[in-house]
Amino acid sequence: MKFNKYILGSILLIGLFAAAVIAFPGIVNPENASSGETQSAMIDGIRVNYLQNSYVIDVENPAELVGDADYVFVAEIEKLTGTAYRFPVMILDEDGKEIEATTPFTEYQVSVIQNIKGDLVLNQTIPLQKKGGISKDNKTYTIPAGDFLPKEGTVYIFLAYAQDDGSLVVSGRNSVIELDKDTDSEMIQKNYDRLRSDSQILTFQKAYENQILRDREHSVSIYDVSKQ
Amino acid sequence: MKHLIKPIAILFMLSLLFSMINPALGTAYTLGWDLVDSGKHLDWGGSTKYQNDFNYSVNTWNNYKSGVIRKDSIIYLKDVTISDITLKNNDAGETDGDNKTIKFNTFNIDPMNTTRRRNVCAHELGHALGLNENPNTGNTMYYKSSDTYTLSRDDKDSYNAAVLNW
Repeated sequence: MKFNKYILGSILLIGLFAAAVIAFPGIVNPENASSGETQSAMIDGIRVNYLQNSYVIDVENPAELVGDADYVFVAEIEKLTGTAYRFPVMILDEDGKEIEATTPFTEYQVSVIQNIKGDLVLNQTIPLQKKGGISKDNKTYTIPAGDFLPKEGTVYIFLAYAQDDGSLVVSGRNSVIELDKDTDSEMIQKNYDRLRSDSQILTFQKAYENQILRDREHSVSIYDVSKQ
Repeated sequence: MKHLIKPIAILFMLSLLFSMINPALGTAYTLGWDLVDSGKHLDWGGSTKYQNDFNYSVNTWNNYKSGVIRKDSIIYLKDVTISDITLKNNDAGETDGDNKTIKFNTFNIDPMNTTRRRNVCAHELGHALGLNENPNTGNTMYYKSSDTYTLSRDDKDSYNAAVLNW
């Protein structure tokens, strides 16, 4: 009879634990839960607001990323020129008062060093917009989750979409790809030979060979060689 | 020692049984923020050209937890504003936690069939409720739009976990 108490107690404890896990899996079993990029993340002391998106392609698959973009290219960011505030919508503030809310798009001037897909003009200053940026009151960065804002004087791979007006927009997770650290330092010295062996560039060149296309309407950039 | 065999065997069997149950449980993916108000409601305002699909998705979530998502009114001030945008890119929907908005991208949603549209609407509502994206297919909260617009075990468990943060 003495053991029955142990058995009964053990069954009760395990039963309670099982019930708790079934009811609250993320709480009882922390390894079973995951949280997104925290809203308290900071860039240069400024809070980051991460946009949550649903995508029409697998944004973790380079072949789909390249297949869907109009232009994939290696470019140096020459200058951050400003922020455009697009898609205004009226929302209610904390006091129930109507205010306008917008999405920031950071405006850059870039110089294309190498085309991977498409044929943009090389070594000329061209503008592009990157979804995400600083708020009008300079208090918050708004960036798509899993994305980042590229920096001036740095070389990246860009995956851009030509808009109806011929402008270029870079938008969403994995729309800007950092090069290898070694490449970055070589770029500072303007040694572009290093681009031939950069692992990220090789990945996206291979992805272009195996690109997965989506049936959609395409536009041609006004910075396409064919438009010059 | 002989008398210990029986309770140890029972405990072992129970542990085995529990380890078999556990993998069948979903995984909770939460954002750590939501647009739900202090009264534990998500009142939406604004409009979208995909209103029927949006309303269907409201019912999908409300069928699991009744009455949480409501249309705004004079009494219920909106917690989230829905609207449409058009941008050539690869995203279909976007939820902005700071601005308390859900935006639907007509460029990518217009070509979709009904199931995909409902998936996008339900996915964005899930974010507004505090759910994070799910890295696995077969879930409404999977980051790529799909034909899933009913709630999976992961979706439900994530919702249960998000509710605890409200």
